[in-house]
Amino acid sequence: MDCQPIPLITDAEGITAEWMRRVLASGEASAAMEIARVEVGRLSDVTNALGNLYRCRLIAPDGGPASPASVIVKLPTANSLALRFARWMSLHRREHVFYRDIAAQSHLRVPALFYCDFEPRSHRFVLMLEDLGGMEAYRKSSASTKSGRVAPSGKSPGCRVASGRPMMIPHCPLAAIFSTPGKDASCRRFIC
Amino acid sequence: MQTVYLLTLPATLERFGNLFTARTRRLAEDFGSRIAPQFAAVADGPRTVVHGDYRADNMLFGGEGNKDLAVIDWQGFGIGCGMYDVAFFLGTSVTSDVRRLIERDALDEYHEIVSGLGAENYTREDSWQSYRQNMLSTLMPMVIGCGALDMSDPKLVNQTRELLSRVLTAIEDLDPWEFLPPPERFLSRGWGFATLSRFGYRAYRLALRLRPRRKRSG
Repeated sequence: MDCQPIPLITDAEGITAEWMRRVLASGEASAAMEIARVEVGRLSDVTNALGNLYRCRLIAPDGGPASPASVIVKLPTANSLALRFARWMSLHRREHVFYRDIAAQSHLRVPALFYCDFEPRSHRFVLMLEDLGGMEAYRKSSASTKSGRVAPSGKSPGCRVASGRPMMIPHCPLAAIFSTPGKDASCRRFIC
Repeated sequence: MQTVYLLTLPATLERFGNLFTARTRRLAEDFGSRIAPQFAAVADGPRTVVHGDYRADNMLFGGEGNKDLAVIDWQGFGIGCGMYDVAFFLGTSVTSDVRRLIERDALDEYHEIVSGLGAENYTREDSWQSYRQNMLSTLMPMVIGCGALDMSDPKLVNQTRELLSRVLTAIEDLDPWEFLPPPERFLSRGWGFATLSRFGYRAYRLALRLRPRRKRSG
């Protein structure tokens, strides 16, 4: 059993097969994981001023995909201004707390957490999440028709956003928790 | 948070000032010294887990015919009024024309479902008023983000401009001025903090104005 603390990596260079193996082994489900190689690619189409997102493809010793085949690693940006901003607003701490303590109970679907770490003094953090690559990101260009009217029967993410409804319905159970007197007590410990 | 808001407001106005009308600019300035009471007023009601940045860019969708929705980017997570997420979503993620078309119906439906899930003493009118009040609150993350973040990426600038423009339009439409808390009582603790915050804002705004002159004279 490897008892050394897992180093808190600061950039994509730190995402190695060895680091990945240790991180995944620290979770119960993936203790037997074998990873020979990791292919790291930055998710450049995602605009995130405060963090860098990497898609990591995990390759097994036989050259095939490991399990999980792919994960998303989120690291803080190297930009000092953005990092200061994140610290002011406790943004990385909030996300860390959410995935560690809340996500599993969330009514909304969120990527499953494989690993998270946070260092309060430097505000450095790392999140390793389920890769929801099979899902589509929203593209603004398809949000509404040219006339500005909603396409009511549209099924693309853009049309669904434009109708508003599909995004708000999953949010309702969150609101219902608090709107019912006495049911918000369990949330209070998460205030940050 | 109030101090951060007021310190970032000058930079926001410098970068995106053309999106503000005289009225919304004045509101943004007045709001700065009243954020603490505003959020206290909103938080006075029932609370829940809020995402804090609940907009379309932070959502992933199932493919054609699949209703799956996943929400990512929880760095704004906290405990607050659930309607904040709704206001932020409708304020940022649909065009202003579409928002005007759907918001009443969407809010009614939202209220109906929340009530069906067990919310008590929560009327349709409560839901609408809370939505308007929370639209005012969305000014805070918008101003802080616009003023504090590095805007060297044109993609980020365009995205931010669009979001801010939509939020300001929503604020004009929903007319939430009545929810702006009154100024703090003279010489109270809150008054002292608000005065210091305002002073900091004005000093920073002045420093920003003087900066090009210093450069020229240097």
